[in-house]
Amino acid sequence: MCNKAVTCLLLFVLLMGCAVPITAQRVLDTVVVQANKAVSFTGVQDVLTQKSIQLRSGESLGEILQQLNGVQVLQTGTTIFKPVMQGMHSNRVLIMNNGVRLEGQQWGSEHAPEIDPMVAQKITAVKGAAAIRYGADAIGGVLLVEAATPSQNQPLKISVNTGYFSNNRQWNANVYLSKGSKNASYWVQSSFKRGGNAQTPQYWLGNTGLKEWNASTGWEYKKNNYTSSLYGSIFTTSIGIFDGSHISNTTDLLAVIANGKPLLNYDFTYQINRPNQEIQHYLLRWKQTWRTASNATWQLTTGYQENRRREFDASAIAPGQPELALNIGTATIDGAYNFTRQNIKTTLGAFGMRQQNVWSGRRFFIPNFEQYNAALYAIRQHSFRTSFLEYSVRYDYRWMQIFRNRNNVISSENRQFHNVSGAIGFTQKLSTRWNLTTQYTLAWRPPGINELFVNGLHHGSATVEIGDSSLRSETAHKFHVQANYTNADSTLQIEAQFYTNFIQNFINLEPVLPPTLTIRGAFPTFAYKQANAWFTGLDASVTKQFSTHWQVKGLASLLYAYNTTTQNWLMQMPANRFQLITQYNVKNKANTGFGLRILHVAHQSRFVPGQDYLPPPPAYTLMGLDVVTSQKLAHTQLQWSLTINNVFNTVYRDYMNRFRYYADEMGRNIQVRCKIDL
Amino acid sequence: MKQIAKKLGGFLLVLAVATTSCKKTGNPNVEADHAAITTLTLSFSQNGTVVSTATFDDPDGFGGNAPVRFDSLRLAANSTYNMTVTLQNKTSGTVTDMTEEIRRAGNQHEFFFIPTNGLTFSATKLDRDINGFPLGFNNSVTTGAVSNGNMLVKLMHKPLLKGPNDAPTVGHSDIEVNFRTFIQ
Repeated sequence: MCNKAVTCLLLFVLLMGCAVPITAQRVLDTVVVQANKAVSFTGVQDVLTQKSIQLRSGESLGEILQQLNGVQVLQTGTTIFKPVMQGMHSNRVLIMNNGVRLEGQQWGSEHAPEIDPMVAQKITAVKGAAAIRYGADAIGGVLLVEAATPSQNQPLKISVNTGYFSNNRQWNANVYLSKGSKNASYWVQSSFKRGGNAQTPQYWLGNTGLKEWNASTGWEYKKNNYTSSLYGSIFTTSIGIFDGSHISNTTDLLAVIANGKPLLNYDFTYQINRPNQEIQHYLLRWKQTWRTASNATWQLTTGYQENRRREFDASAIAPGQPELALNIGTATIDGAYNFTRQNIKTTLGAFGMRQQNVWSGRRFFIPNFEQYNAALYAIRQHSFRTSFLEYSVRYDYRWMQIFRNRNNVISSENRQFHNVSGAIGFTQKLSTRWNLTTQYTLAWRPPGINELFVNGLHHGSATVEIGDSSLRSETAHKFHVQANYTNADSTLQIEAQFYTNFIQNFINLEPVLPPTLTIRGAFPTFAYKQANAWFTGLDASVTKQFSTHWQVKGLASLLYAYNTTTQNWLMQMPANRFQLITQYNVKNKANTGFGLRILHVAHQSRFVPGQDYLPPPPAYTLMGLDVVTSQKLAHTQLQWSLTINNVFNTVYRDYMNRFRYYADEMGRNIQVRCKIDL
Repeated sequence: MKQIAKKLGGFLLVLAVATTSCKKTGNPNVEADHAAITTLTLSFSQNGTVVSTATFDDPDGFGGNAPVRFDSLRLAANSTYNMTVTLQNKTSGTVTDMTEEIRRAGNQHEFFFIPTNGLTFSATKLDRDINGFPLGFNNSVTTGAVSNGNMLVKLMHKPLLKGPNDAPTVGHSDIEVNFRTFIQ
């Protein structure tokens, strides 16, 4: 395996020397700042382009999303990454997969989103008022993952991405085919990856391999004023859970912490053993659009998705059988009517969802349930000469039936939630250089199934979690102020997004006394309680173009999260982060570029002492390097890239990694990628 | 418009088929953990007669309600006992013996009996697993002078790790119960 990597590297160096320029486009250009957009838009959002996604091919969606300013991750070891927006994750961040809400077991902090990022042409992080369009429960924000549609009469295009990562000896490949004719177009995509155990600078992390296979396809038919598009995707993954995190009580946990590193020595292997997870996600979506003579549009999107999750614990009672299996099926329908009169655009919509969840195995975690959701929404956008006004209102209703079986006695209970949400936003062009957007959003989120019914050990954290079936909905009052500045020749762009979010009845895990006494010892116990919370923060970026070749970008993301009821900081919140990205595109060789990334994550000083086994780890600084070059061979375009993460093999731990008690983070990772466009 | 309505109808039909209720939802799996250990009993005998027992009993298993029984252990000073360990699972409302199941997986398990606070208690494991390594369901116990303290019972689970002389920290804990103990 290692020999192949060396050959690949050599080939890469060779080809670098004879690269021929083909386009004047910059190869390195990470995140698009929406700064100089026309005044037609109040969105507080950031966009990740296909170019930046493909330069990270082989990484998971969560890892790739970290390129967006203000998106952090909640990690479980080296294999599970969940996006965090404005301090929130899981049920509070909604992910839209090509127009359909991604519905799996997203409540779990160790359940990564089931989307292959290679499907995406672009990913948008919607933080502001526009989130209401997608669901009122997205208190933290919405991530829109969108695939490309081939243009009319586009000849057949084939694109292949391959890559190798040195740290966990991961191989990955992605194939994408697309074609367009006069009325129809299609694309087909499939990706595969396989990685072994990851390594920290000093030791291997046992059982951290992963295997993933995905496929997706999109078909579109257009005739006159009618467009019909089908989208289907399959996501399958098998993930090892770090063996050293397998502890069954506080004594075991304290022993690992005292040791400072895992108790056992591991080696490299591709083999995935228990504990592990196997997940399959299938999605089918049908979207139709009709355009009327008066230029109004009707849009109907129906989707069905099925998520199968199987969790295998370390101690197998029945080998081959998962200790916990969850199967959730979701049907969604969304209809929207859009019309524009003069400078006012109106959208009226209705949304419906049906979902059923079935569990099996021997480790009960959440009960079976069946739920129906219905929503009505209206959005209005006024465009004026130098300003833009948007307001929206939405009504949501949720009906939920829960089924339990305790000692062969089946019981059922019903829960209903309903609420009105809304948003208003105003963008004013202050001068040719300044834009100012202010927004207010009223959002709500019903309690998640785990928050209502969980009662047991949280694996890996040695804590007992207790749900509360009487929890009410959370209500968020969110204020955004976004300022954009662009200088006369667009060589300086500044974007600052300030937010403050007051949440009533915020559902939070709080410690309770006494500890739970079990046959495995006494465990610290946390119960889901409601409190008032206050989140405030800033996501800012400054991009300076020194010449056509040099670009420097600075990013800062700050967050303060406070529980105003208990007058304490909220735990497990991302620390302040700062990034500096320098990009250099070689003169006369616009297709060759170098990038240098410096990330500084501050020490999280905002925590409650004594509530965690280990205080937040110290601050750390990491350096990353990127080299990209491309060349044309006959009709084939080749793009090579080399990325080095954690260049100095720095030993560090991150507060947002749930396995920070057990082991250090990944060490240096050299990634080589090759993209071929036929 | 009529055409739209027709198409809409078609999709609603598709949706209805896709969402046809899954019968399983209303027929949930039993929440009892079939492999759980809820109850631990130590029996002390002399000349074949049980003279003292101590039980930890948490019939609804991990979390949920608090244990219903957690005995103190009382033994005579300067004596020798035979101590056996019994394990049970009561999560499903009936009592299932787990002793044999764990004994069969004996090459992955080992008991430890650790006295603290100067307790004059020492246990010697008499039984062995299939590899000839110590197990701990059957033990010889010796007590010394009069003392009070705690006796920690640990059942360590160590798949692929078990050796002949493991420290009590090897593997992860299936059981960790600290009995208040009086040697009188």
